[in-house]
Amino acid sequence: MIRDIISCQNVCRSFGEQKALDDVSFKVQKGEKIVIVGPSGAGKSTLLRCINALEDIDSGSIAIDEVVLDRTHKDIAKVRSEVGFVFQHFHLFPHLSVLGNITLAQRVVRKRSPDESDTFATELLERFGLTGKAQSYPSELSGGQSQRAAICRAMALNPKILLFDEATSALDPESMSDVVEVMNFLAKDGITLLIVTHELSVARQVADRVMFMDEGRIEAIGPVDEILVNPQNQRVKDFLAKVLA
Amino acid sequence: MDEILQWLIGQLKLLGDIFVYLLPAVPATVEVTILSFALALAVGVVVGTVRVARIRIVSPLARVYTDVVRGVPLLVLIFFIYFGLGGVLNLGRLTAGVIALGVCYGAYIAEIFRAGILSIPQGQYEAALSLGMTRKQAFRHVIIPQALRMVIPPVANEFIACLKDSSLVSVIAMREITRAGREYFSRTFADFQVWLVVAILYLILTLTLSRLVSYMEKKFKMRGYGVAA
Repeated sequence: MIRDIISCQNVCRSFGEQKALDDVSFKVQKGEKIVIVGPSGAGKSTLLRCINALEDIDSGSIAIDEVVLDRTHKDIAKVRSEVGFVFQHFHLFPHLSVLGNITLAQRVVRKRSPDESDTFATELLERFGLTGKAQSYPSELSGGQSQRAAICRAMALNPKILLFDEATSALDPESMSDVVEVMNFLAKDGITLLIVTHELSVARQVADRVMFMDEGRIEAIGPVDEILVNPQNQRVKDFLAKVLA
Repeated sequence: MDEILQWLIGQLKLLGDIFVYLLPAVPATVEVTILSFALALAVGVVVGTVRVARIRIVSPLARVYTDVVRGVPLLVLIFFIYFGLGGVLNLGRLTAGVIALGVCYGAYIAEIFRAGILSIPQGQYEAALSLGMTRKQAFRHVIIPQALRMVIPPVANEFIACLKDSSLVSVIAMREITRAGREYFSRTFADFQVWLVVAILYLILTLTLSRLVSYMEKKFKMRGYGVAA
């Protein structure tokens, strides 16, 4: 039997009156690539942040590789280290070089030696097309380079799952296709991916399943064809009509 | 004409005399300032961090400390520590002076440092956590190194202010520049000349410090800090 690497059950999260997540339940199998789409304010980002325990949930439960998330638990950091997060605005550490950004958590969290961390970081930089940028600082990188560096930083911990929170939204079209290419590359690598995006092309290229969210609920989830090509759900149809118009 | 010249020469000789008399007291001023400020930095970084970290019991205590110290005049603090605590604990003049200044400036620096930490975008903290760092590790490796660079200019201001406020320890008979000035004054009553030289000496010290600070700012500047989100 294939294990569920992510399991969300009846997850609710409100911000005041607003229900960001309203009874969300779904499971992800190891190695699956899920692309989450939907209008802004649908709760897509909140869901990702909850899966990385950056956000509390009000009720329900989330389990990563059969470990239930609990933000107050002292081992929460260990669970987080298995889940990489790629932010819309990169959030690279500006006081560290690119190499420093990629090696910090390896040394501090994984307790790897400086040599080992450097070697792996250099390997990652090469793999993601950033050879020669090791000594640059985040402010000296373009948007696309920054996001690729941020992906290297997340990958440096060999996470089981990688979460992309609108990772291409802050980028110009050229850098965007750059990062999408990286996502494709990662998808072939066998890592479990959860991608929140406004780019339906990403869904078509990468997704095993597409999840459509609206007003904090999962409206539809299924294979790309079922959701994006021949949608049955009225809200999905409306959304697609608007986006593709 | 001759009389004016004579007077001028006399004045210059007097100023020179005062200068020579005060010069040996300069190291004492520098010593008190550096020791107090080192203490203040240590106290400030710890208290400032504790205040942001919201630790039970400790953080409210840190708040009480900053509130109390900022609300009491430094002069009163010096009297209290030297005559009050000093009597019981047998503190010397230098020790009492350093503690008073250090405790006082520690509170100011704690506030500056707290603001520095709060100015670091939340995303930095979240990025650190998402990489599996604990709260402590996130502070130590991501937040504090950035906050330290942010607070260099305001902390440098406090350093200069601390140097000037070190003149207050003259009231507990620590023989630094101001105290030496008072000694010379009580022997000669040359008030204008004495305080002029004292002022010039402080000015030389503070200007030197400002230079040093701008050098440090350049040296520790993050490459293009603030451009990356």
